[in-house]
Amino acid sequence: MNYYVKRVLQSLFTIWAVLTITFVLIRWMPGGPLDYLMAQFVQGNLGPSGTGVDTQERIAAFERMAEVYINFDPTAPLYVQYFEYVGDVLTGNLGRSIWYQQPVEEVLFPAIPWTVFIGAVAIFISFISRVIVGAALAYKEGSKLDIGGTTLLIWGHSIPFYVVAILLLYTFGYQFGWFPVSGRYNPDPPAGLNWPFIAGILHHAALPMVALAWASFGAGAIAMRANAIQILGEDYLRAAKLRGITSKRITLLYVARNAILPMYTQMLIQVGFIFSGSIILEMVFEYRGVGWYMFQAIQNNDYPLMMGCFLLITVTIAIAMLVADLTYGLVDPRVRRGESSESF
Amino acid sequence: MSGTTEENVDSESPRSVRSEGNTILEVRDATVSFEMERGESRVLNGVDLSVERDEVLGIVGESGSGKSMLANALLDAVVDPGKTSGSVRYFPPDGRDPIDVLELNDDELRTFRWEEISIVFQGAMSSFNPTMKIRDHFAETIDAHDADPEECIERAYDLLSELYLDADRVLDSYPHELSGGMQQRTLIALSLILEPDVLVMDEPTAALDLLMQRSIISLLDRLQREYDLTLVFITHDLPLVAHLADRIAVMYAFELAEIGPAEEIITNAAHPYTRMLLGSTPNLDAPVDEMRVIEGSSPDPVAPPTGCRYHPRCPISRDICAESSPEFEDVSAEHQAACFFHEEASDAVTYPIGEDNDAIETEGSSTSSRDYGEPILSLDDVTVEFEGDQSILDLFDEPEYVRAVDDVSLDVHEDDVVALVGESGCGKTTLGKTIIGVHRPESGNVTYRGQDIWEARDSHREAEISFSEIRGALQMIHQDPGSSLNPNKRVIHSLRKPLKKSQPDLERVEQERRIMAMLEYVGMSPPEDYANRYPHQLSGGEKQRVALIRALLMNPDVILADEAISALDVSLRVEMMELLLDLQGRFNTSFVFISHDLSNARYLAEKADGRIAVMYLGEIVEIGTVEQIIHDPQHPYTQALRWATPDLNPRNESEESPIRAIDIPDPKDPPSGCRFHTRCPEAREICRQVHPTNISTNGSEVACFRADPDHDYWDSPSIVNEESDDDETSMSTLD
Repeated sequence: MNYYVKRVLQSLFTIWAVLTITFVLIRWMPGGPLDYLMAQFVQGNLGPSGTGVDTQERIAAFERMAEVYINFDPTAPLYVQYFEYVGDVLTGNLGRSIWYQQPVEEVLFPAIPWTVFIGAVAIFISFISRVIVGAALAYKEGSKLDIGGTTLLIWGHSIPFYVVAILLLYTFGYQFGWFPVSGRYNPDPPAGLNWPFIAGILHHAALPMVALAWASFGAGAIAMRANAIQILGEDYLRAAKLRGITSKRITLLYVARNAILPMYTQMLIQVGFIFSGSIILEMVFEYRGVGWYMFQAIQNNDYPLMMGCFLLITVTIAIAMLVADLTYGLVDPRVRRGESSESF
Repeated sequence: MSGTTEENVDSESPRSVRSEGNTILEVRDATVSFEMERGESRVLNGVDLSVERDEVLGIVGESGSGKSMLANALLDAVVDPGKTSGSVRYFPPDGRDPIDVLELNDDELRTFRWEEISIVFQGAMSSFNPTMKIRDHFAETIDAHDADPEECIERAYDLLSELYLDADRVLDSYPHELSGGMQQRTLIALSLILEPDVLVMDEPTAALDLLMQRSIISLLDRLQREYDLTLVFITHDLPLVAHLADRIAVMYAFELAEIGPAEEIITNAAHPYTRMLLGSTPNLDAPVDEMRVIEGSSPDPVAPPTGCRYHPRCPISRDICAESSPEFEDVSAEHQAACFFHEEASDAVTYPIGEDNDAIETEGSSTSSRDYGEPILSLDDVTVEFEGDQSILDLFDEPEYVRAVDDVSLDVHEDDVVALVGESGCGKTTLGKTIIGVHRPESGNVTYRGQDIWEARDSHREAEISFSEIRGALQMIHQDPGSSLNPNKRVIHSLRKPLKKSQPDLERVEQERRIMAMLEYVGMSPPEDYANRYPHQLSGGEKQRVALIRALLMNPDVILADEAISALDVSLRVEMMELLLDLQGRFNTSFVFISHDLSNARYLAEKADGRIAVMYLGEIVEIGTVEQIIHDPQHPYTQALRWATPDLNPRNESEESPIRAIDIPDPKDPPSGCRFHTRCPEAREICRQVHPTNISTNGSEVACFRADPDHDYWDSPSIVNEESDDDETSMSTLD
């Protein structure tokens, strides 16, 4: 079969498997969504309560509620439950958040752009800076700058990004007061395309972005350095110098381009982890993105919301990997059939 | 130009350079050294050399003899931190002032290189930026030298078509889309784009098949005459340059050992080293018994031997050789050798070239006198396919299949040697791996002693001979011994593994005793020392021996040797083949020997009384004894390979290439009829339409209509002069 068709089918299979596993978890996990819902119901936190309601009515009400919150009726035959659930998810109905009393998609979807915004900019900043730092160290291979720089990078990489996040928050947020310590935007200017509002957004996003960029910077810069050193030793570089090609052209078209290529896959994988990586970060900065909601959902046992987040995360990862495999052949002319070369 | 500069030149060097008239490059006392922790490593030591205008100078030496350093020194292109001293002077042909190459600053060097002298390196693939199209390589070079783009691009087109390439398609390709031979030719065109006067070529063909090597040499010969080039051709392969070069310089241990006119060097070499080198080169014309091995190994550049550097290995060395180093002495007017006793060398070291070797023709091996019993291994109509490459752009196409092996039948007997010969991409490695049960064929059977290998695998226990037993009986040694040994394990550890597998109840002491005996047997002594080494502490030849022992300890019936000697130095090859033959006799092992080199195949097959099989595009086109294949080849392709195999006899005039297209057709879409018809010099209309089946002619089998004197072929019209057909196929590997 054609490799690309095969690869797309594989991704679809992954997504289907995740859906099924989610269904199994919801249905049977002890203390899982169903039990939780039942408990809430019995305690009278949800659904009709009071003494005037008879049992039949209560059961019927519970079934309706289950339908709303977790997308299936627990009393229906299993396969009906399964198809109901899958069908609902595929049509964009992810259930209803218990905590927010809103459909999950209405809670989650407005949060997506905020997380994507921080994640994408952080990946971009991190990518550019590690290419520059890595290449600079490679050119100075063996010098004091290189040894010191590499040591610093490894040292920096060993500090978890959430520690960096807390340090940033403490220093620049609380001590100096340069950056806001929580939130996504300034409430004062009217929301919309005006500078004060956008400036507020950037102001709020700056620290989370730096912290997130830090997460991949150290290892990435070391990988770039190693790639560039390898390219610097290639015969074609020497041949190009002998042909009289200017060093500027060699740096850009020979060294940089060939050293960056193996990092392409790595970058797409990062994109895939954009949501799962945001959980702790958004907690620290109280930044209401997907990660923040997910953390809240876990704390509040808000299973429908949690499941929605899980699905979102897996689907993004599966799609990012698929894109990496499908497009590597176009980015690097040498590679066909998704034999992507990776470096970490 | 002006009188003052000429005086300058004269005052600098006592020799009157101008009076030598035709010199284009003059090298005096060129030395390249690297500072190392153990001391100064002199990888080129005081070389004096003059290159004449419009000549072809061949520089020959083994690996590690400093020949590449000499090439780089000519352009002051020695890599950091190497230091070049001495002087290299270039005399421009238009009478400008001579240029002191080593004195040029960076900017001057930038213009000097490529405009006056350019260089072609060995690995063409690694000389191109893999993510840039060929056209950009040309464009940036033209741009960097401020040359006229239109004129240069026009020249690029001329050069490329001169080299039998379709210029448009080559220029719009990425490097990896071209075959090795195409890349190398493109690289030659790229180095000539600014019309340099001198072209230095550092092993330009070493990575290529013989047929391609020889084709490129013929093309170079033509280019050299057409563009008035001076060629400096550096190689380890003396026979390769024998016909091309006007003069040959032989290097040993970072110094020149001998220099002289090519024919004189070949027929009447004066330095004992040159004579040994000539004697150890596998050669189709020389009787195999006269080939010999050079004892010892090349010296270390940090601590070379005192006196004459060859004296520790030289058969005629005396005390004086160890004490003082010999100067160049005239053998004849243009022939110098650095040896005190060069007059005695010709008697002390003989080699078969240049002498009368009529005896060979009659001497040949007995024709199919062998009585073959039941074959050990038998291939029956075997076909192996691979899935071709795809891009996302052909998303909805079914993948294409390449038939690497197409309908091949072959028997391997007890104590047999089968040499598979062919160009790269002809499927010889795939066939080899199918023979030893590594590749599963799409159709056809591979049987081992009557048991179908793949049936044994599928049916597990029920088979008469189990699959693991078969696996153990069929072993392989690879081309690159370095990567087939675990770098983190000692030799003894690598060797104990197979022994544990083949004889699990052997005691540890006994195991070690056997391993030591084997090491000793292959000449690695003291064995205790070698057994405890790591692979990186072994030389290439020693690693290959360890790989060979490892295969033998499984007690195999058949060993597949895939280009097992190609990575070794010329002087080591004969030694390694001798070892293979010796072991074959001792352990009753059969060898399937894969090589692109007909002379190696011939050496092994002739001594073991085996057969040579010639492969082309997945098919065996001719198979027979050495006598038949070498001395009486029937198939035009075998004849072409025979032509491509360098021979040393200068009396064998190198005739024009017998093939019509240099490049192999695309294996995904092989030509109709006879697959060779697109390149065959004898092709006729019928060859395009009908696929020839094997025709037996007294013992050998040939897949060519010409072997049958009554075939319709002889009435069919020739298609040799149809140009369009030719162009199309020569480029089809580009797809």
